[in-house]
Amino acid sequence: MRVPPGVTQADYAKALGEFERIVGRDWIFTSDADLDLYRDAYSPFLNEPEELKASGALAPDSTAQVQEIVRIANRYRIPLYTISTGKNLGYGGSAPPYSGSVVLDLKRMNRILEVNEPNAYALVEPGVSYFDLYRYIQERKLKVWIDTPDPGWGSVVGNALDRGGGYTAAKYRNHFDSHCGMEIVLPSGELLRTGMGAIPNATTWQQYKTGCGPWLDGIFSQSNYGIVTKMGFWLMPEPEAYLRCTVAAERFEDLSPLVETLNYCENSRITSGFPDLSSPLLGYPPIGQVQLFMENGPPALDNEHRALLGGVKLGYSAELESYGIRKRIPYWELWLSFYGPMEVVEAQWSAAQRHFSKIRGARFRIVDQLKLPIDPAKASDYHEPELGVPSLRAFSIGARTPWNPTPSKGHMWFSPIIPRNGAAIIEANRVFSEAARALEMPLFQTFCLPACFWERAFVFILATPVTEDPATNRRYREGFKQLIKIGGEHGWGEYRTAPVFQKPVMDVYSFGDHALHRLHETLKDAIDPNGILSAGRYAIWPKHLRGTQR
Amino acid sequence: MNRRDFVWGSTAAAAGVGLATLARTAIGDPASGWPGTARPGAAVFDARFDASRAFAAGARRRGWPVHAIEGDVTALWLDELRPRWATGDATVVGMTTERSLLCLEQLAWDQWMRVVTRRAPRGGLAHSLVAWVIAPG
Repeated sequence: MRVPPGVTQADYAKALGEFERIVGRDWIFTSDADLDLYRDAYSPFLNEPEELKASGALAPDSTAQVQEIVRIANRYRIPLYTISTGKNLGYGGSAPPYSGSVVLDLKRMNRILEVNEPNAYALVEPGVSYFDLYRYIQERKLKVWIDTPDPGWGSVVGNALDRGGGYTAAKYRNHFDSHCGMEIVLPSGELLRTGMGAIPNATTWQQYKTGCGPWLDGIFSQSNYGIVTKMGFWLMPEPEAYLRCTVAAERFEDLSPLVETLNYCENSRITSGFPDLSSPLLGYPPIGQVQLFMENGPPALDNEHRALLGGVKLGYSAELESYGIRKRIPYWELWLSFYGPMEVVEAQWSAAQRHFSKIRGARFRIVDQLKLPIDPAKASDYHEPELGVPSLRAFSIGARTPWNPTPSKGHMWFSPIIPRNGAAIIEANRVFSEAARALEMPLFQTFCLPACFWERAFVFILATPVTEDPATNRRYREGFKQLIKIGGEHGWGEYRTAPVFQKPVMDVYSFGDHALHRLHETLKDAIDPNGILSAGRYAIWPKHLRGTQR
Repeated sequence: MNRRDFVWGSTAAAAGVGLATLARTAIGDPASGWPGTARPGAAVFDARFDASRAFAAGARRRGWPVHAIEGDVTALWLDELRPRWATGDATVVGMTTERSLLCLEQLAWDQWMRVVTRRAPRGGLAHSLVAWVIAPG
């Protein structure tokens, strides 16, 4: 039997006995076959000795059980690692940063405690997936939408706590921002509620976020200060209509005014849906079409187009630009979406066209104009997450196809935040493509466009493959760390990352001689003196492990 | 659901043996060697691939309920597997791509089911197909 590090076999056996009293024998996992299921399916250490693994797992089904488990863990100094549904593939999955920790699997805590239609919010436990919440809403014919990432199999709570994003209106697709109120089991076993929930018999817990006094919710995201056992979310009322349109621009130099106008339109609420940047001329699809691209293959190019792509430098070629103008293939195509009453979205689109018309030669196209709700069976005709429908089609990306003959064994997401302007897109491409070439990394091999999940910043979300060859994986891991460092030198930091990269990422956040990291450790020492919760998450190590692990 | 309902030596184990036979003979006629009493709740195949279709043909001959996918498992999981797995019912067998199996394995574990057998068919297939059994674990 595997034993957690720093724990004697005798103490672990006693702890397991006490855990069994709390959750029952059925919900304790110690066999190798069981624990293999908690390995990171996309581990960049695939089958190497350094692969992060659990030594045990527990699956409680209530907050009270979690509190008891935490008290026992404190008594025996058992390191725990909390997961909601463990689907964070590409960012570490269910494997603990402190290898040998006992996974606290909250999947069984899957109650939807409330969905309030008039005030458009939900209160859920961590084991509730986007599919679960969607089905609950559909079955009761409630007129609210979820905002789901892609794929939608993950935990609503877990995704928000890792600060993930989705695809509908701005207010909802920043999943942490759209939360309202939390319940947390602290490392002491005490139970805390934040915001208005700190008032017993609170009546506005999911309506007013900040309560009074210091607002602590943020410290429980991407951290190891507590175990979130309930979380509230604001939901979008089901819109009456959905409009999906494009703005096409002919010239390379149009990128900057395109982004500036997008920023104005978003910040003025002319458009609130997920903007999606693409380049038909460079062959860079919008995120919403990547599945189709991977399922059906890239669009066929004529020989002239293919040849001209070979002459592109940092996304630009004058000859390619001329070809595009001649053939009416845009250099850039920005996808915009609008939600609301039909008369409102049509007016918003009209206003957006007026603003984008300042770009010479801009062309406009309506792609989809839907009265809602649509028949759920038809949702797969669209990019489902933009209609609030969870899906697993994203897994077609990376499947073996004639145009992708050697799919990877998984991937690690490289996710730097860059400024929201055209010049930054070009500069980031220059910096990262040069670095990736020198490091022989398969990133930025062509001009890449960032994603617009966040209203006020861009994020690149690019996959570095995990292969079957440990030597290649080692090179890619080291190269990934170098790219993180190079990004930091240019003022760009990751927004989220897998455990193996959490230290190099947090090292970039070094203002004031790493003042942020020192405060993280101060909080850790105060809140979790025995260091039992998720040691090492985002490089926050408990005191007793700093000498060896940091 | 009681996780310990599963007992080795029942459907899953038999399914595993039979599956191995099916996987080996997936190109061509796959029917021989399957223990007659074992009947999985569903057999999943990927309609895009010849070997997987052959697997499905063998399954149909056995009278198993057969379900087609084309890479995407969403509808299969929502409409067929999740309801069955939520009640602890149904060993499921299949021949799909590794990526589809990855999805199903992750979803199955949410219902405390696991992949108990996985085998790559012989024959130098162009696509990374894998034959598998998911059962209560």
